[in-house]
Amino acid sequence: MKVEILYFADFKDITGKDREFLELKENTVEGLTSKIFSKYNPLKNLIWDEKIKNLKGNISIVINDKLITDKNKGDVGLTDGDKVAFLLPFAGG
Amino acid sequence: MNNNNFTPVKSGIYKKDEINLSNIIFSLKNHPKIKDAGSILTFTGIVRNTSKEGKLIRSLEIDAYEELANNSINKICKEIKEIPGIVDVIIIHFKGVFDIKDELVHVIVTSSHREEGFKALRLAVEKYKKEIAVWKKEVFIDGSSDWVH
Repeated sequence: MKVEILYFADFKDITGKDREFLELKENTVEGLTSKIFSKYNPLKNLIWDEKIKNLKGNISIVINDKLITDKNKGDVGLTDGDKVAFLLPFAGG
Repeated sequence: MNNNNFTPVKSGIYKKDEINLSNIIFSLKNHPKIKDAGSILTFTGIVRNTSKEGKLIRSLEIDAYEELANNSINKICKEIKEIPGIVDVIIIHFKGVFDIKDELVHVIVTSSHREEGFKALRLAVEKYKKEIAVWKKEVFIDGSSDWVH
């Protein structure tokens, strides 16, 4: 299964790109985070809370331009062709 | 004031310098209900030379998730336009790399009277600060940089 991941702000600086397609074995957000953490280790410090073994509380997930509000974000399912972004808190000009 | 070739300015994310305040005011003055308005109130956010912590800034970078940010901007504008006495509102947020004093955002409200206009302008500014998918990176004069969250 392939998903497109968008990178903004800190994510763009760490990965050096604004988007990419990734092949996933596990069709959940957790599967995607495992993939990106193995590829870009600094992302783990940015968005992962080791104490709760989940994404930090201030991280939003957007799938196909829709904000996901599920409590356990790691369990959210993904399907082939989804466009996914992890977002840090906003800061307008 | 009506112009047959006129294209209204749409709220949203734009590239740096793609549009200016005069373009926006011209557009608002061509609104079909502009005759109901008695005021045009504007807020322009510009790049300050210090961070909140007082560090000296050399430049600022704005990144945006355009689809999401445009949806939020349109939602804010819809809410503001529902306030009695508000004729129209336009919110423009720029993205790119900016120097000190450069314009980052324009919020413009036309209203029947100034009281509701000032309140609506304040509300629109507070909302865009929190609700639109935009991030800013402060680049300091010592060469270091930080994304603000």
